[in-house]
Amino acid sequence: MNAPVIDIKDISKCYIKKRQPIEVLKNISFSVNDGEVVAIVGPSGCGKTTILKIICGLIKPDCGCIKYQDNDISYALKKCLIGYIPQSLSLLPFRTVRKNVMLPLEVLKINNCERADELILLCDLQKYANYYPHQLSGGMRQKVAIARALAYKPKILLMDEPMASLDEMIKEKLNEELLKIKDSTKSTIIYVTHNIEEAVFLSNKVIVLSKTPGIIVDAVDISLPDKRDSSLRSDPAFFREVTKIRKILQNNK
Amino acid sequence: MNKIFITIISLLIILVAWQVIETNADKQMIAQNQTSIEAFVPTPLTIINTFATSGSIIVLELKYTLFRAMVGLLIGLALAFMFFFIFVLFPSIRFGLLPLAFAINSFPVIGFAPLIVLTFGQGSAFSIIFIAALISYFPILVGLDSTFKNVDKESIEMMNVLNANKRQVLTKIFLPASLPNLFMSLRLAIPASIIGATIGEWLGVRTGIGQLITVALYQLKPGLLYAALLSVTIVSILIVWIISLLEKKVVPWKYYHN
Repeated sequence: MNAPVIDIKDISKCYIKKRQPIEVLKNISFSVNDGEVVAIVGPSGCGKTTILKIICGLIKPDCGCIKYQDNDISYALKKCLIGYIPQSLSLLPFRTVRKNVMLPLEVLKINNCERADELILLCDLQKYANYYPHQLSGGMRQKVAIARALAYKPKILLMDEPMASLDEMIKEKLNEELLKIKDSTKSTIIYVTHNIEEAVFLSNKVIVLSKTPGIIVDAVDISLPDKRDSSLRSDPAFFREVTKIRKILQNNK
Repeated sequence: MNKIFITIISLLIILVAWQVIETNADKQMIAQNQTSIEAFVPTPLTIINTFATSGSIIVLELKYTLFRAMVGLLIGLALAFMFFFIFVLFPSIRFGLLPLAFAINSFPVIGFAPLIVLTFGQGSAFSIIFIAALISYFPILVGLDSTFKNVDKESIEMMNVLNANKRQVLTKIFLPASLPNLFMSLRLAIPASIIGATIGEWLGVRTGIGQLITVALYQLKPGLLYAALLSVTIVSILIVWIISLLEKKVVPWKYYHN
C-alpha cells in the first residue's frame, strides 16, 4: 500500500452541555492510505460524525493534529481536496439533479458543464438529470449526493452514514456501485456507518469506536480481495470478518 | 372548471337574493315612512349602475391608489430584503434585529397615519406611499425570515467545506430557498399595501380611491362607496392571481410532482 494521505494524531474533543463537559472523542489516531476505504463503526453518539466534521474543518478539535500527506489538513481544505457528503445529503430542493451536481463547480468557479455530465453518466443518472430531488427515490438521491461530492475531483471523500435510511436491497446494490465509482475515480473514502456488514464489504480497514467517550477500540484490517462484488457476501471469509468486528463491538458495551 | 362554475352560481344566487329581499324591504319601509335601507346599503343593481355611470372616475382614482400602493410595496419589499440580507450575512445580528422588526409591526401604523400625513405635508403622495410601505414590509420580512427554518444546517456546512464565501451562501442557498416564502408573503402584502394606501388617502389628498370613499360617504352615495370598494377588491384579487401565475414560473420545483 501507499503512504498515508490522511494521518490523524491524538485528536480529542469535548463539548460543554449544561455546564457539564462531555468527552466525545479521546485520543483518536489513525491513518488512511491512498485509494483505501476506511469505515468507522460504533454505537450511536460515539462521535463518528464528529470525526468527519473535524477532518473537513467544520469542528476544531481541542487537541491533536491532522495531516494531509506532509501538510496540515488546512492545506487540503483550501485546495478543496476533500469532498463531504452530510448525513442529510443536503441536496438543494430548488435545483435539478444536474444543477445540484453543478453546485460545487459553480462555487469553485469551474465552469465545466461536461464534468457534471460525466458524473451523471458515471452514477447512472442520465434519465433523471432534469428531475428535482423530491421526485427521486432515496437511493437515487444518494447517488446524486455522491456525484455532487465527486464533481470537483476531491482526493478524499467523507461519507456520513449515507445509506442509513435505505432498505437492504438498495443498500447492497449501491455499495457495489460505490466501489465501482471509487475504482474509476481512484478516490480515498472515509465512511461512517453503524452497519457492520456494510463496513466490511466496502472497506480495507474498519475502525471500531466505543461509546462515549469515543476511543478507538480496535482498527481491523480487512483481508478480503480488492475486487469485490455481490458474491463476496456469501463468502465465509466475509462472515469471519463481520463476526470479528461484531465481537469487538459486543465486548465493549 | 367545475369549481369556478359552482362559485359563480352561488355568487349569483346571493346577489339575486340580496336584490329581491332589499327591494321588497325598502317598499315596506317607504310605505311606513321610514328611511330606506338603500340609503345605507345599495342593491347589487345600484352598484352595477354606479359602475356604468361613474366607471371612468373610479378607474382614474384607482390608478392613483394602485400606483401609490405598488410603489409602497416595492419599498416594503426592498426594506424586507435588506433586513433578510443582513440576517444571512451577519447571523448574530438577526437575533438582535428580529424583535425590533416585530416591534415596528406592533406599532399601530394606522393610528400614526395622520402624523405621517402632517410630516410629509397634506396632499403629498409620499405620505401614502410611506404608509403602504410600512404596512407591507412586515409580512414579507416574516416570510423571508422563515427561510432560516427551511435551509438545513448541513447544506451550509457543505458550502463551508467548498470554501464558499458569504455572498455565495446567500445567492446559491438562501435566495432561491426564500422564493416560495416570498410568494406566500406577497399574497398577504399586496392587499395590505392597497389597504394602507386607501387609508392614507382618507386623510388628506385630493385623489385616489380612499378620497373617493370619503367623498361618497359625505355625499351619502353608498352606491359609489360600494363600487369603489369593490373595484379595489377586484384589482387586489387580480394582482394576487398574476403573482400566482408568476410563482409557477419562478418556483417550478414546488409544482413538479412526478
